[in-house]
Amino acid sequence: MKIEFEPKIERAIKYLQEKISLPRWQIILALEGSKEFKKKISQKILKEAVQEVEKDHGEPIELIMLKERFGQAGAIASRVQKVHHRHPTFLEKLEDATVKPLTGLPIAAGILWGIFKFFITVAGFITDRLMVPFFEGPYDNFIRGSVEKIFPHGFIHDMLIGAPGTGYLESFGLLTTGIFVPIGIVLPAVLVFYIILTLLEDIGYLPRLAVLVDTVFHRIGLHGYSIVPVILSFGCNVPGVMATRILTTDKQRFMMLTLLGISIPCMAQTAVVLNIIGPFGLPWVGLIYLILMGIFISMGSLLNKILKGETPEIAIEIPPYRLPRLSNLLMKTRLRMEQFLLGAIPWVFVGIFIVNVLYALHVTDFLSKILGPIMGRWLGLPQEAIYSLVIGFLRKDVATGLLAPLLNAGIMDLYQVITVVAMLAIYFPCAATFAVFLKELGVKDTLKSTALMLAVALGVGGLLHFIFSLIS
Amino acid sequence: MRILLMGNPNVGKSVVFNRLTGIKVIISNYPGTTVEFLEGSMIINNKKVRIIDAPGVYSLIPSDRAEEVAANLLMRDPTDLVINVVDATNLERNLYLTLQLKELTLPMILNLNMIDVARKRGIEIDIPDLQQALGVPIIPSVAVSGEGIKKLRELIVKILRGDKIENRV
Repeated sequence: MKIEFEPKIERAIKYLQEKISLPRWQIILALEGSKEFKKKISQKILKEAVQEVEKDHGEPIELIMLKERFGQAGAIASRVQKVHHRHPTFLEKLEDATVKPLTGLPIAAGILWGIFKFFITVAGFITDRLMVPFFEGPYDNFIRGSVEKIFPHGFIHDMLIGAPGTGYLESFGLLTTGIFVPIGIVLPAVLVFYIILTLLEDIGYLPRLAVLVDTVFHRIGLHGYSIVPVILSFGCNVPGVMATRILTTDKQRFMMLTLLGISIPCMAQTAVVLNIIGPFGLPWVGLIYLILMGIFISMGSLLNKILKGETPEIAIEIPPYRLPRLSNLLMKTRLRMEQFLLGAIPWVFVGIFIVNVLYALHVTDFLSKILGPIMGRWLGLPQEAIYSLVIGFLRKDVATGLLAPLLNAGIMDLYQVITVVAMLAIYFPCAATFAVFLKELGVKDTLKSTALMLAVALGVGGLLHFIFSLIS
Repeated sequence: MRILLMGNPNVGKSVVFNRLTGIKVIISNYPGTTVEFLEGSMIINNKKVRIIDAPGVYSLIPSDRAEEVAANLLMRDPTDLVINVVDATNLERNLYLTLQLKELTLPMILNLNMIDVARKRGIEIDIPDLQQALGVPIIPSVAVSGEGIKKLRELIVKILRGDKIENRV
């Protein structure tokens, strides 16, 4: 069966076919609004062709074509499809309950709270009860013994297992901290996070969350769907950035990427923060997230006001709830863990290598001369914090880990650590994310976005120092 | 040889891709999981055939970056076969894209996916009639459980071999 348009449209198509040598499908796509094929037809000829149809319908040709197509699709669908009535199932009732604000918001709050508790408990258990005993016990015996046999002391000894008498988080040896941070601390957090994320994804909850937060996000010029890149970014900013491809305008994408870069810490950073600051009490960790959330909202509304461009509405589809499949859960978790291990460990090694070189060369003296005034007066930080901020360009977990020995030795207090942790999250995405920024935004916009991040980091750092100096 | 998987977002293209190629991909229950295309291959008649999982599109006129990727895949390079994955529970909306794809006059298979969910919801689709209306061979499937994938594979082999396809299921 040949599917035809109404006679006047068919005449317009024939007219164009006679005037220019384009296949029918390209002409139809041009009429439907394809920029690529529209370019191939001169404006004058196109206008002549559609004049009559547009006058007849009183609408632009793109809209007429759209309605025609939906008409055709609808006619076929109603011819071949019979829908029997039946009562809504439990899942369908749940679908309604989770998007209606009155029931949906409490449910969302409950789910997020449950996830948070589950995450903290399980990831904490794996790190504290399984990983730490393993690394401090059998792993340490083996590694320390083997390394010290070959390199009893000196630069290579320190490079591999750190200076004598330091713990696994503080030693900054490639084989101690370099393995312990990604495997012992970050991996459990990433694993638990991705299992939860996969369940939410496969059930179909994320688009419903998007509906619930839509109003809030619209205040800052973003669509509720932006919650999806935000949630993905809590795992790793790289897939988060990729997911912004579903946003329609350059303005929205620039805003979203900048906001992700500025205020969403990835799981690698979160894991180390929980390890260092968690012992002081979870409210301190919560404070960091509150600061970052405040920045997300205020930067969002600011960018929305100053950036030119549109923030059009987009329609998103809410899929039905589906029962998650174990096979998919396993496949996806494995895939994401592989990506994490392959993507993270090399960078952690490079980071730790650089830290060792920086220490060995006493680079702080040089850097503190240049950055001294900013570090000391404006941010109220000791010069040792420079290492962390330098490595933060590369990897957030290693950078955050560098704060542990400073905190333990009393060189920095908790307020100062919180200031640096917030700044680390803000001032620059890690190297891997930066590469995706370049790919998605291009050089010019990436530089603009980065300049913004640096400015915000300095501003927020200074502000936090000011506030903390008032209360301490 | 090049096969392109096209369809609306969240209809199961990545599941079909995974079933056909064995390549592990991220599959989720929300539109926009695949924003970049993925390429894999199948061995058909002792020849390696490239198979591409395109991001989901509602229309061939792109409105975002992910849709642009998909439209470019279809328009820029020669394609030997389009597998249009269709969500059987949203026939009308999915057929919009099917009709657009049909204009391209490329060899095409309509993979009517999630047929189990449609049945459960009381949606009954007259497949021979749909096949006749569109003039495109149809394979119903439940990609997540693998149902219908064998038939899909057989039909792909036939079409790429150049067999004449009978207009019935």
